[in-house]
Amino acid sequence: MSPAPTCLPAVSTLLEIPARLARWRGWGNTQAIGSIVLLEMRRRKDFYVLFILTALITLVLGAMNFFNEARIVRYLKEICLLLIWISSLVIAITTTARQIPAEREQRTVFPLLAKPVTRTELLLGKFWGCWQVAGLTLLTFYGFFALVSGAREHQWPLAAYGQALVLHWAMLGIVIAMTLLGSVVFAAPSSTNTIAFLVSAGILMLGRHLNHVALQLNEPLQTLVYAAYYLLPHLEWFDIRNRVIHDWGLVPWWAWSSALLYAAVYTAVFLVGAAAWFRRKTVL
Amino acid sequence: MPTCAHLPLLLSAAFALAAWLEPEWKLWSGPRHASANLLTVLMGDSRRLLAAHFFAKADAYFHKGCYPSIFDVNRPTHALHPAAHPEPEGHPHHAHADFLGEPRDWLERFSRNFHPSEHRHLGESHPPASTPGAEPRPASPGLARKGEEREILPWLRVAADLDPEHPETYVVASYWLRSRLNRVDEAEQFLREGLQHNPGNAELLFELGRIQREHRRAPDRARNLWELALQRWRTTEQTKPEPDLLLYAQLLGNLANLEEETAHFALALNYVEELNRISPNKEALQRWADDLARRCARSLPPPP
Repeated sequence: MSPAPTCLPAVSTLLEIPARLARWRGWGNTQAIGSIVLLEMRRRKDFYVLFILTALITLVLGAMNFFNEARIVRYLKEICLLLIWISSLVIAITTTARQIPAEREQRTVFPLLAKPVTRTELLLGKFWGCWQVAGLTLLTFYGFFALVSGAREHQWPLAAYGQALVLHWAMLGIVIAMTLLGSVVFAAPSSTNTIAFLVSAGILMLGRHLNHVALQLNEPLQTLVYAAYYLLPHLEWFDIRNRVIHDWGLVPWWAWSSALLYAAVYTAVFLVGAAAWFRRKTVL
Repeated sequence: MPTCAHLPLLLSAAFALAAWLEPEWKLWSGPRHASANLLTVLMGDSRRLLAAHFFAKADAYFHKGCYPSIFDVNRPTHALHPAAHPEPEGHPHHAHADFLGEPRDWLERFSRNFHPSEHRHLGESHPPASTPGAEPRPASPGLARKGEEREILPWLRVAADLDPEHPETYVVASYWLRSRLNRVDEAEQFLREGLQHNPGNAELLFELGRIQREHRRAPDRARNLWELALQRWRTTEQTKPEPDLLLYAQLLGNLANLEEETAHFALALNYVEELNRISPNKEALQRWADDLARRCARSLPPPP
């Protein structure tokens, strides 16, 4: 009697993964919680106000005349993209920061957890919902951006816009996961909002230069700052506005895919951290 | 109820304050009288900082977004150059072109895929982006993207609105408008606007003279403008510890050329000799002066 080949169970387990995922009750719960966040976004005015504001400012600036040159477009692209970035960060952070505290305040967290929904599923559901909100927001904003710039310059670099949108969405995934972790750790949504905004803006503005700054410092500060440079999520990689504005063409696809993988890893790290913290935390 | 009771009192106080402040405001001889511009009143001198930022923004646009930040060590230290004065190869600006230097680590190397990291200019055409670290590719002027330089204009317009007393903004905008975008009328109008804010500025007068000579084919007007510019330069710049010698040389060179073309060789010779005193290129200028002296002698009427 020879022993059965050991690889067979492994292969069969791999083949079962999609079916197991489909049967996983948790995915259904996650989707259900996510859809509630989407519903909330439709009811709240944040998105509409920010979109109308962005559209108005862009259109008013687009109507300006500079030396009778009708084809000037890059300033408009820059301002529109800046407004899109600000709006998307505001929507993503504020929507995420209030999710868990609101459930606690309104005491809806108890029936939710009694369904039964595990705490991890609740967190994943909130993340999935907020990320979907961010995705829908970006689709609308980038659609408007493509229309405005296309109408002005008569070019439609849709692949570049697509790359920018997906990278932006992946970056918001990291920010949402980070904010979710903050909302579990900190007591009030206001503190989570402030810290998430400061950290995101700080990384976006300084992340690229931290190594240069580190080299100008004395030890042990140099090692500390350099370590932070390696450890912090480099959100600025996902900001390819300058490439889009100045028509630098597509980001190499291998770099683009690697950045998405990088975002997935950091999102997962923050989510695991949030889930671990939330499991140990008393709900009230 | 107390709110209703206080309302007339507050309104009366507001009216009295307005009645007292209005004549004071009219009589106030502060910076409001210097300019009727609301922006100046509201922002004071901070608008100059903003104007400098927007002027730098124009330069960043000229470099297609590849521009040093405050963290980059090899920042160019000379004045911004949206090609008001075209530079030869090896100019200090191009020595700083690779301000990013070699990537310090693999993260930085990777990050260069996501932001402009090659030295390029507007109006130049390039093949599709290469991998970072590859040899820089030359621009192909044959495939130049015509008129792309217009993209810097909004920032120059805003910079001029914020700081109208900065003549370089007008000169740079005028250069692009007339030389690349064929918008001579707009260039002239903008320069005249600059002259209203900077009366008798030599740099603006020189640029206006170039428009008259090169685009309007009006040498007499150009001469008048350049002579006035030269006169203004002598009264304003000569006393400075570091006078703008480039402008002086350009004025003298252009005047000499103009006088030579219109067969005023003696005048041309004067300008060339004056130019020779400040120019490092003395040999060539001496040859030009000798040639002018010969032609001047030939053109003189024979003695009776």
